[in-house]
Amino acid sequence: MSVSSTAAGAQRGLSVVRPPKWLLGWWAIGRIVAIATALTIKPTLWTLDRWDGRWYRMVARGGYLLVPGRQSDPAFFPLYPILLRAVHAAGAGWGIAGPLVSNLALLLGLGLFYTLTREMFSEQLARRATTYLAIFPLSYVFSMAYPESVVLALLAAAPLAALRRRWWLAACCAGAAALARPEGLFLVFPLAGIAWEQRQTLGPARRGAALAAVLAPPAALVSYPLYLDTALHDPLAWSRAEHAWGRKFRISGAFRAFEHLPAAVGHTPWLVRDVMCFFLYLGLLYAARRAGVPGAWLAAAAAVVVLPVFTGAFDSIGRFGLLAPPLFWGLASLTNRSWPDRTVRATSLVLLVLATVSLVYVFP
Amino acid sequence: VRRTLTSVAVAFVGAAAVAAGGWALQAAALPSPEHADRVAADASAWLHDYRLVVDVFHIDHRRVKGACLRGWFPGPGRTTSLASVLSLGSGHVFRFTSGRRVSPGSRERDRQRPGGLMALAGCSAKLSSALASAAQSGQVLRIERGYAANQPAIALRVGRTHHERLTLYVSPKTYLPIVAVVDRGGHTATARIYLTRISPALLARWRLPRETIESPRG
Repeated sequence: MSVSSTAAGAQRGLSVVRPPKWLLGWWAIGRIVAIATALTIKPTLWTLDRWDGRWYRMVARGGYLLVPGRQSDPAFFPLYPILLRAVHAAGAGWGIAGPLVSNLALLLGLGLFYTLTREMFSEQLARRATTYLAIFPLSYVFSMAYPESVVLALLAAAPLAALRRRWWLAACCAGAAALARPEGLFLVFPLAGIAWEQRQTLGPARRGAALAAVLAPPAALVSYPLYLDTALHDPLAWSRAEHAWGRKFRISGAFRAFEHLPAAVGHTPWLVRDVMCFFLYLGLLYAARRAGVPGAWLAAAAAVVVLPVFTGAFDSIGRFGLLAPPLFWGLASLTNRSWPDRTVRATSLVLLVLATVSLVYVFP
Repeated sequence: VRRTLTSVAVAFVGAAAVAAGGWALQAAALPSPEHADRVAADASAWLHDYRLVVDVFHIDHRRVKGACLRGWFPGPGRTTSLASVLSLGSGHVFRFTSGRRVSPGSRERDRQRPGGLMALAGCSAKLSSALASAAQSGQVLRIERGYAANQPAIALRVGRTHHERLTLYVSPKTYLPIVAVVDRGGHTATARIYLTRISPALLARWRLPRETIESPRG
């Protein structure tokens, strides 16, 4: 495997080729399985629009409102509600807007992820990694009113633009990613890695643009408390809301997460899903490292997977891992031969059905 | 050095543009919360901060004093549960867990009886929860100028159900709750609210039970 950032790519910007048929096919299979299962559970869009989707819709409809001491919506980042408002203004109902945005954004995201992976590694690995991402057991989230699909598209677009030396475009995509989910912040690592590789071939202005792209995620993140200060007169509203949701970063958080794990699983047996995902992701990170995935990407993925544990809980780590591309590169690196590849695809599809059924009982 | 300075300047201008663009996008695309929702949220926060409320109730032409304490209390068996205990000057004590009175009496009867009305009007947990739910559910809240407890106030009107209406009068500047009025099924309960810090003397004065778990705030 090799990482390439050819100057030839510089001319292409983000012009992604028309999605190949196999990619369209796996996107469709994944979405049909997830949506059909959800509709079988309950024949309305309710299943795809619930849990955090309700909160994003609440922000989209009425803006942010902090209720101190209670779970409130400043815990949810603003880009996805902004998109929901735009789609609603175009005529879509609130209930359909979320799943519509998410499923279409996933197609774009898979296309960009495939292009990025192909540019960094090889065609074969890109095909496998993209397929696994499309039908990953927790990929039902990509069909829900959650921002993961949008973030996936931006997470792939920013480094792809950087590899093609479109650094201002990379800055915009990275900034947008950080406005959609906190994981967008970790784009700092791969963008810094790409900028470092290109440093000898960039002029002063282009080098400044590259540095701006690296700084874009934290800069965009700063804009959120500034906006909350404008709207709610409280720049710390996000942090206060996170506390009410039970998320608070502490150095001792990881220790507490393991210490309280038996009691937490006893209280919420579904937590086993996230704990299993956590260890699976660590294994896939190791596989990605062995496969030669650049260190900057590994650092970003490790941050996505490990940092949430420092809040003292494993909740939702399975979902967070969807935004760590190296995990899927690592998985694809393990399935060079035909039978492991087929096994992973078949197992993923079966687990996708089961995981979608769990939506009735537990948040992703 | 000049080349480096150029790069750094471009980078900071670019990062500042991203931050400014992000702020502008949010300011332009997202609506600001309604004033009534913010009043409800702030009043809910006041009530959340104070676990003890001393009340003067007016219900069905009767006046009765009481105090309501929110906290963790011993439940059935060896369990503990988050509950509100309302103790009235008349000697009656009501206990409410998860929005209902545990003892004595059935849940349906409670809804019709004065205890439930007084709890909604004069217990911080119930009132705070009702206000927060109303603000977050997107239902239309109305505010207007009013007068309560001999002082100017903002009247926040919350239509909870067809049969139940809550009006909370708050201080115009701080949104501190002053008076709550609950109408339900032809009965009206009014509570003059005094948010109070907990002290052993007050707990003894109102015959309120000791908590199982000490809460961090008074």
